[in-house]
Amino acid sequence: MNACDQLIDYFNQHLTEDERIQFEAHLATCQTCQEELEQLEALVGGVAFLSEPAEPPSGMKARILDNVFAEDEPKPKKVEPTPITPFTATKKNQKTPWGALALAATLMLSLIGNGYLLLNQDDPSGIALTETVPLEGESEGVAYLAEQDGQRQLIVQTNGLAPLEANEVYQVWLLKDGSPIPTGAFVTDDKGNGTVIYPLDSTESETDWDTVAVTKEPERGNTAPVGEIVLSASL
Amino acid sequence: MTDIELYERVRQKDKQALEALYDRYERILYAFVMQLTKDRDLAEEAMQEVFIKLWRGGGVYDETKGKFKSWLFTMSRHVTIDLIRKRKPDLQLDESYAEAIPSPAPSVETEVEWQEERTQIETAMAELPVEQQQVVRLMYFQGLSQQKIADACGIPLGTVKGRIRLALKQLRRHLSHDLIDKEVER
Repeated sequence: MNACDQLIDYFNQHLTEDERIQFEAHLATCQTCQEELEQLEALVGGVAFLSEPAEPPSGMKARILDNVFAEDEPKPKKVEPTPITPFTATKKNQKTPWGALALAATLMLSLIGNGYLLLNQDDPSGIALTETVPLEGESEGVAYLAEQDGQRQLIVQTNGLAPLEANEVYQVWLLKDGSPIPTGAFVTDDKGNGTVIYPLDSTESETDWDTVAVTKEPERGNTAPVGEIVLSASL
Repeated sequence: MTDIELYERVRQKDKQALEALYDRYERILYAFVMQLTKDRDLAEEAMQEVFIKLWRGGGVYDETKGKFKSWLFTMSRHVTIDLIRKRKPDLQLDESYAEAIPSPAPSVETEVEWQEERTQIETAMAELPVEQQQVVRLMYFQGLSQQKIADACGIPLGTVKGRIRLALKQLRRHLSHDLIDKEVER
């Protein structure tokens, strides 16, 4: 078969990806194929009218237009983070048992941007961030201490964590002097994105904790970390 | 407003323009994708893909390339075949369909939209020898591979293209410029 003989299979989408790319390269240089393809396409608008009349399902217009326009609604994940003034962080920069490395300022800004969008768009009910700490380790991540209606919360967001096996979870811990308490577990999506929001006891203050860490645990519900630490930061 | 004017407004994110295009083409486009999918759910999904593509600006219409209508139907056909291959990889024209070529759909009284276009293409098709009608349908509505068209028509592989070319030439002769693009009349 010479290249021109693939025109019909190209038009009817029967070529493999490789074949298609090859044929398109041929098409770019073959005037006969270009003309024949144009003729095939030109008649689609005519033969379409040979279709048997079919009654559109009721409500289809509303469903379709809703979905089409919903594509435009801002989604936190898709919106480019807007650089904003970083929230005041009371970071002490003390060494933790896991060691702390400074993250690039751009990464911090970008993550804070994401957090800003998450907190301000998904939850407009007046949540206030009291501390924002970039996490260091295997992927991007950020921890927030926040307050909403008098309730303090620990929020951890990650991006790009390794995929989990069947029963595994990522577990967040708060630590003081090396002793951890579990503060919520999460699983990630296909991009390694995950979020956990954990309500803190209102009598506790942030100075009670010196470290936040994320470990990969073989199962949910461990009261002490078994798995390796993937992200951490000092508070 | 012409299709092209509406399309230009859609490019500017004018929701009303998209709705107007939708209203204009809903019935005929739905009939067309139903013809391809034979499945109401899949047809609706295809319709949605088409309008998402229009709205997002995927696949840009270029006036120098021909009529908007041809572009819209070609794009819709592409989207629909893609969807069929994804959802129903086994869906193929079985040879039974090839044997029993349905006559052109009778125009029902309620189907007043696009009546002129319908009548025109039906008349043009009726002028073709049966074997050319068959190849047009296998080609456009069944989306068969060249080999399957050859098998269905009982002709050598190498003859398929020639027969299609002949059928298109005959059709073009009977269709007004509204249904086909002028530049292919050369």
